[in-house]
Amino acid sequence: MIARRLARLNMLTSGMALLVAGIALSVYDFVAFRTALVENQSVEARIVGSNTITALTFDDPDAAERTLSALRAEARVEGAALYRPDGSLFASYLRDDAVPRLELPPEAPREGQWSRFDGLRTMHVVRPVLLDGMPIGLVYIRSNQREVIDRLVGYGLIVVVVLIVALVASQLVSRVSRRAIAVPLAELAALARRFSTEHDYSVRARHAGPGELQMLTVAFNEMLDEIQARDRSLQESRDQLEQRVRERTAALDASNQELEAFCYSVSHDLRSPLRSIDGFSQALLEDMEGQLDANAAGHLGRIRAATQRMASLIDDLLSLSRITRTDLTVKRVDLSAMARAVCDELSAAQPGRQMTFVVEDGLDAMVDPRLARQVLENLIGNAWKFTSKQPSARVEFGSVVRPDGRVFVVRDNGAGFDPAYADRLFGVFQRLHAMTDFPGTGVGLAIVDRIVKRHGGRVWAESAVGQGASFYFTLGGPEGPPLRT
Amino acid sequence: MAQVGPAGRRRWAIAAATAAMLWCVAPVIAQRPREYQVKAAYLYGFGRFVEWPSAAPVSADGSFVLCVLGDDPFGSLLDQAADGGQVKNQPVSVRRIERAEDGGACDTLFVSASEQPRLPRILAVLGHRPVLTVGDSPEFAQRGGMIGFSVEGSRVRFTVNLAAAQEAGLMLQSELLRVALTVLRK
Repeated sequence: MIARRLARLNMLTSGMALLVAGIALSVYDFVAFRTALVENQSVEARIVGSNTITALTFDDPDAAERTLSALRAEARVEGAALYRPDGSLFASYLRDDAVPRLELPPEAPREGQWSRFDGLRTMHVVRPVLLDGMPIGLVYIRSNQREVIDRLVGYGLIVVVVLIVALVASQLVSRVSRRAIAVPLAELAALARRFSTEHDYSVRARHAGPGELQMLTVAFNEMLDEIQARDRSLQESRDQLEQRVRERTAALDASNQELEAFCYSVSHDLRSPLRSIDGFSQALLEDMEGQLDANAAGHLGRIRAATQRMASLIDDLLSLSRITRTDLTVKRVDLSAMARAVCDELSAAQPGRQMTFVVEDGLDAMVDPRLARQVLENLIGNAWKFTSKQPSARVEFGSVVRPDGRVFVVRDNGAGFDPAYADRLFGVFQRLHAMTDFPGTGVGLAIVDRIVKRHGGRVWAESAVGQGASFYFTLGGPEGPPLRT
Repeated sequence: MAQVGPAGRRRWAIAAATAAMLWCVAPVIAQRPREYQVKAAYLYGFGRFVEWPSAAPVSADGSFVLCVLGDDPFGSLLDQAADGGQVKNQPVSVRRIERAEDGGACDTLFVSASEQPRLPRILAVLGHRPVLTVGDSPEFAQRGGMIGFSVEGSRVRFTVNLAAAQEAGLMLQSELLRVALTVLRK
C-alpha cells in the first residue's frame, strides 16, 4: 500500500521534472533554432542583395532575375523578390511548386531589416539593398522551413523516449527503495494491526532499513516492551485480586453456610427440648389435676406459655433462615388478589374486630408467590396488629407510580412509630413497642426486608407516633430514593 | 572667360538652334530629361564598379572628378546628382572641358555626341591613361571607347569594351559586365 504510493509518488515527481525539463529544452532549442534559421536566411538575403546591386543600379531586371533564380539551389526558398525603393517590383523568382503567390507582407517595413514566422514553417525575411550606405532596393525571401517541424517532432520523440526510460528506471529504483523503506514500514503497520486486533504483544519488529526507519523500529519495539510489561503487571494484579476475591468469597460462603446450618440446627434442635418441656408440663397438669394448688398450676401454665413463645420465636428464625436457603421461582403474581386473601384470613381469625380493608385492583409483579405472600402477611398483619386499639381501623394496600418504577405501599392508621428509629425497624428481634402493648417476635420485618432484597427491591417505612404508618416496598427494578409524601 | 572665341560663338549658335528644334518637337523633349537623368545616375554608378590603378590621377582636393567633353546634354542633372553624392568615399566634382588634353585629369570622361567626329584624336590624346571613357552611342565602345550608352525603348543600356578598359589599367567588376548589353573583348 504505502510502497505502491511511494513508487507512484516517485514516478510522478521524476516524470514531471523530466517533462518540464524536456519541454523547456525543446522550447529553448526551438526558439534558438528559429533564430539561427532567420540569421541564415538573412545572410542569404544579403548575398542576394549585394549580387543585385548592379542590376538595380543599371536597371536590369533580367540580370536581377538571373541572380534570384540562383536560389533554386536552395530547396527551402519558395520565392524571392526585389523591390525598388519606391516599393515597385523590380524582379522576382517563384519556385514552380510554391503554392501561394509571392507578395511582400504588408507589415514589412520599406527600410531596414525584418523577419517573421508564419505558423511553424513559413518564414519571411526582408533586407535592404545598400549601395554606399544608401538603400537602393529591398530583398524579400519567403521560405518553407520544414526542418522546424522535423526538429519539433524529433524533440518530442526524444522527450517521450527519455520519459519512458526514466520512468522505467525510477520504477526500478523505487522497487529497490521499496525493499529498503516501504517493506519495513508495511511490516511495522502489519505488526501494529496485529497488536490492536489480536493483542499479541510478544512479537517484535525486525531492525532494517535506513537510520530513521531503524530508530522508528527501535522506538516501536521499546513501546511494545513497555506495553508488555504493563500488561503483565496488570494481569498479575488482576489475578491476585481475583484470587483474593475467590478466597474471600469462599470463606464468606463457608461461614455463611456454617452460620445457616448452625442457625437451622440450633433452631431445630431447640424445638425438641421445648416440646418435651411443654409436653411434660401439660402431662403434669393433667395427671395432677386437683392435687396441685392454684399457685403451682399457675407456674406450670407460665412454663407452658413461655415454651410456646419460644417455639414461635424458633419458627420465625427458621423461616428467616429458609428464605436465604431456598431458590426463587418467579412468576407473574396478582398481588391485589393475594392481599385480599390475607385480609380475609385475618378477619376470619378475629371476627370481632371492626376493620376497613382497601385494596387497589390490578397490582401484579414478577415474584416468588410463596415469599410474596409472606411479605403481604407480615405487613398487613402488622397493620392489623397496630390498629387493634383504633376504634375505626383502616388498612390500605396500593401503589405509587414514580418515574423509575412502581412502589407498593401498605398503609394503616394505627399506633405508628418514632421516625428516629425507622432504620432499626427491619433488624432481627428489633421491637419498638412493649410486648404488653403489641405482641410479636420482632422477626417479621426482618423477613420482609430479606425477601424484598432477594427480589432486588428495597423496603422502607414512614410514620409518626399516633399517625399510622406507611410501609413502601419495590420488587425488582431500579432503586429509588424514599418517597417523602 | 574674358573673351569669347570662335568655338564659343559656334556653341551659342548650336545651342540656339537646338533650343529652336526642341521647341518644335515637344514630345521628344519630354523624353530627354528622363533619359539623361538615368544616364547621369549611370555615370556615377560606373564609378562604383570600376577599380582605378593606384597611379590614377588624384585631384588636388581629393575628389572624384567627373568630366564632360563637348556639349553638355545633362544640363544641371549631373550637378544635382553630384550634390552630396559620393563615389569611392570621395565627394564628386563635375567639370566641363573643351579639349581632350584636359581629359587626363579626369576619373570618368563623358564624351558628348558633339565630339563624335573627333573621337580618334581624343582617344589618341588620352592614350592608355586610366580614364574611364563613356560615350553616348554603342559605336563609341566599338570605336575604342570603354562604355557606350544605347537606348532600348524606355531603358538605357550600355556596351562595354573590356579590352580598351584593361589596356588603360582599369578593372571592371564582373557584375558590371553582367548587366552590360554587350561586352567587347579582345
